[in-house]
Amino acid sequence: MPLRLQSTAPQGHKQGTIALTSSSSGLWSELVTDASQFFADYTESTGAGMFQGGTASGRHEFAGEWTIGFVLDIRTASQGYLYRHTTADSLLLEIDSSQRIRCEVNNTEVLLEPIAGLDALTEEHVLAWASRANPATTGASDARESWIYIVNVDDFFVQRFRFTHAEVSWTAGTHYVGCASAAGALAYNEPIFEYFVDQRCQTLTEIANDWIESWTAPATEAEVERPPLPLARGSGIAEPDEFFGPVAHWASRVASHMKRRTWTPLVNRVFRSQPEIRDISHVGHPAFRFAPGSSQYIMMLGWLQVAPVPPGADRVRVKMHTRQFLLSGSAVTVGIRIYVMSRRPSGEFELAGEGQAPLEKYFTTEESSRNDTASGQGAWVASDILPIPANSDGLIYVCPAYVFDPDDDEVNDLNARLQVRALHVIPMRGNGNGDGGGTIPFGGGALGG
Amino acid sequence: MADTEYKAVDLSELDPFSPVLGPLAPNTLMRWAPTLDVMQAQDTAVAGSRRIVAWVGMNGLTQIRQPNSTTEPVDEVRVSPAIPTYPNIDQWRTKGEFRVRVTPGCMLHARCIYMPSGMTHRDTGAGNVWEPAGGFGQIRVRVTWNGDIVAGPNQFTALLEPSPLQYAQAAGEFAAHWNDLREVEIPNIRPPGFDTGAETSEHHADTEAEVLLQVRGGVRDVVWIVWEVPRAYVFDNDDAGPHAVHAASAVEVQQSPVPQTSPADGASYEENRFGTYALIDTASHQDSRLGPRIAEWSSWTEDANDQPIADNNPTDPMVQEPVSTSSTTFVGVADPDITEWSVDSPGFAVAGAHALRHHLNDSGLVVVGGVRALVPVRVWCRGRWTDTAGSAMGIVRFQTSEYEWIELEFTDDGNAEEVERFGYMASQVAPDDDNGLLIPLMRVDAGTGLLEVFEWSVDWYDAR
Repeated sequence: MPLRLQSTAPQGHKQGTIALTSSSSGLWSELVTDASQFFADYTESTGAGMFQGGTASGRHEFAGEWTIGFVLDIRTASQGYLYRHTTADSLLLEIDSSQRIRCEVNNTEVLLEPIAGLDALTEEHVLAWASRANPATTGASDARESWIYIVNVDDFFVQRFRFTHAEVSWTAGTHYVGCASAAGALAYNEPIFEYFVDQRCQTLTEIANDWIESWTAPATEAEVERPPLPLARGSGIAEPDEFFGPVAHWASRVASHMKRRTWTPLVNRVFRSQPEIRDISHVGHPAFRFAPGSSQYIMMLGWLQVAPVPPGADRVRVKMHTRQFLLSGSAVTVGIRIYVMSRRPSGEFELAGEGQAPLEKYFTTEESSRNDTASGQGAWVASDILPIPANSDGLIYVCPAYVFDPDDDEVNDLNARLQVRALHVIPMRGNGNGDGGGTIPFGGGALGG
Repeated sequence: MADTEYKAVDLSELDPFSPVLGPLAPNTLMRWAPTLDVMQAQDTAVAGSRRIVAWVGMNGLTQIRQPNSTTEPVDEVRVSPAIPTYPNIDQWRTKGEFRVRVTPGCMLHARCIYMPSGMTHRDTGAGNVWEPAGGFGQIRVRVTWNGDIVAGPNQFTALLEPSPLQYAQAAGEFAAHWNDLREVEIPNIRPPGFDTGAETSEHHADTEAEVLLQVRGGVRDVVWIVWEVPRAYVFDNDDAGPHAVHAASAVEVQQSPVPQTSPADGASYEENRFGTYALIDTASHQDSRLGPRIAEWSSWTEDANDQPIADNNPTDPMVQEPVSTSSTTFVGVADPDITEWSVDSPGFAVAGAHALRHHLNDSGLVVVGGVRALVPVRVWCRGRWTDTAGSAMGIVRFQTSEYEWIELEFTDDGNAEEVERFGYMASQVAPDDDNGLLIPLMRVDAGTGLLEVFEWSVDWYDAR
């Protein structure tokens, strides 16, 4: 088995790949060459399509999960068989004459859905059928859960169809790709560029990562444990070695990956109410107050949050979503802060009361003069990493604050409005970069005191 | 010999740590000390949970729903609707219902920040005559435990301080609400017998909970959360089921120098906590079982325009008013100004960076380079779809990226339904990136109809 191919080749070459063919021009004479670990080439059908019989076909009689995928052209006149396991139709995937996706299992139709967004000219699409045992099965008729994914690679229009069906009763025999018989009957009438089969139920994210988009790994200032090895009782190096050192070593690795496993956002809110705040909203209003230590920034009680901190977390990543707009006139700057505090602020001057620790607080600030005119507009702001107050005693208090025209040099303050729409506070542990660095909470310029 | 029928570990004081790896390298003999480290590290993993599983509150609004009259409350006659000015002192109202798969060995704990409670009315029983009943407020967490056995609903209540001001008012000048805040806790929210009988504890050590947050009287709650607190993990000492912790004994036990499933001469009979078999079984279960709480949401609002005061809902006071749509194209559930998923729109974080599973995320094979991440989830939602003319169903979509979404269909015309579905959500790759934004959307499929959504919960849940 050519394991090197699996580990060094990109994209579709994976450990579970059992068929992989490719042709940049969509020629069947090229598509018949199997680049999977089986190297089991197909035979070109008469005219169009290809097929495979004997033992090579038998490996397609999946015992568990599967993903069958294509990169192909589709247009408003496309039709034909894409995948057919034996003439008994154990498994069948086609685009019918009305450009609907049609799936059959055990010679029974289980999905018939139109493909949306097709053009008269061909456009490249990725089409895949992913299936797994249905975790919510109610009986034999819905023993499996499947998805059809269709992504237009030109405009990234995505369709997903979920459906359930019975377990496949495999009929041994020849299976066909791009046609219905060795004679090329009902052949798909557009080019197919890639064809792959994996014995895992792939997610559309995985398929997109392999065949559609190239993403860049996000930069992070947090210490993150990567997913541990897929340890299971039966996954010992080999059965006779199941209880030897390497397995204990694995278990130990998994244990170190588990310690942050339950870390949950401390605040994860889309606010149910998003009143339009204005420059004078706070005047005489009992729900508003100045932020602790500030005579400018204003907090509103409806935004106040409290949350327990998981052991080991030393930072929080904060951000909030706001919409700010003008009724008319010239631009107005709105300052936004997110405060992380050791206790809820009370009292005008924040002096510690009897038995009360001093208020320890950190905040991040962002100023913007956006004008989000439409109601659905807005932006994530004040995204930053803040320390967790040391004397928080296991709980932290979080509240946004705002000020219109922080430099007091604009003339249109009364026509500006602010809506606070969402707030995230996510626990993390710094990895030594940026604000996530060090253990003493006096790192970045954004920190207030 | 000691009774070994049940094994338990007290989780309350444990801090997670990483065991050393070196002494467990290949081709080394089985030795007790490094193995014990791993076992104890496994015990601490679940003890790290502080997962917030339910919350309600002012939720962005600038005011409290409780009326704040400046005139003396009086007897009132109310027929249709039978709703007095102030809340019925005897009527519990639900602000949100949540579903959570509780982290093994944890119980729940509630904390509420509130202002002193306001005026109430009481039904005199004399035919729709309501009399003022003074300042009063009470909150409760009502939980049904669906573990191996069902327990509950159990109610855990806390009395809130009433306002000492005239007519139980809230103070009205600038910052007055802030200066009048109180906090109350409801600890030890757990099934009956959880900490007294091993057999009962075992049934609830790994449980599902239906959590209702309810209020009675003139409650002025600002924010109210329920989170998990590690307590104790108990399991029947056999090898039949998966174990979320190891319950390692600190007592050193002579180990055999050969690979084993249990000690040859253990501290007691039936001792299944020892040996590498239990070690990997626990690791395997933790990998498939432990994860963050993803998100939850209730339609409750303090806005008087949306939420009647005395009964949340004219037909069922235990159910809050839902959000709704008759649109055949998507609109936001949590934010009605949203019509489609965008990373720039307001949504909920899917913070699964610390709980990525290898088969979905391995950066060398599955999603190459660790550029994106997925977490397995269970979505639960309560809604009601009503067909007026030719509508096919109501659909709630939980979308987390341009490629990943899960749709729940509501098809029982005119009746509230609870719909549950398993699937995958795009997640943060690291806790400080912008991937994995959950935006719930809703629509009616075809024709004319109405879809109402009451609440939803999303659990990290691997159904594989």
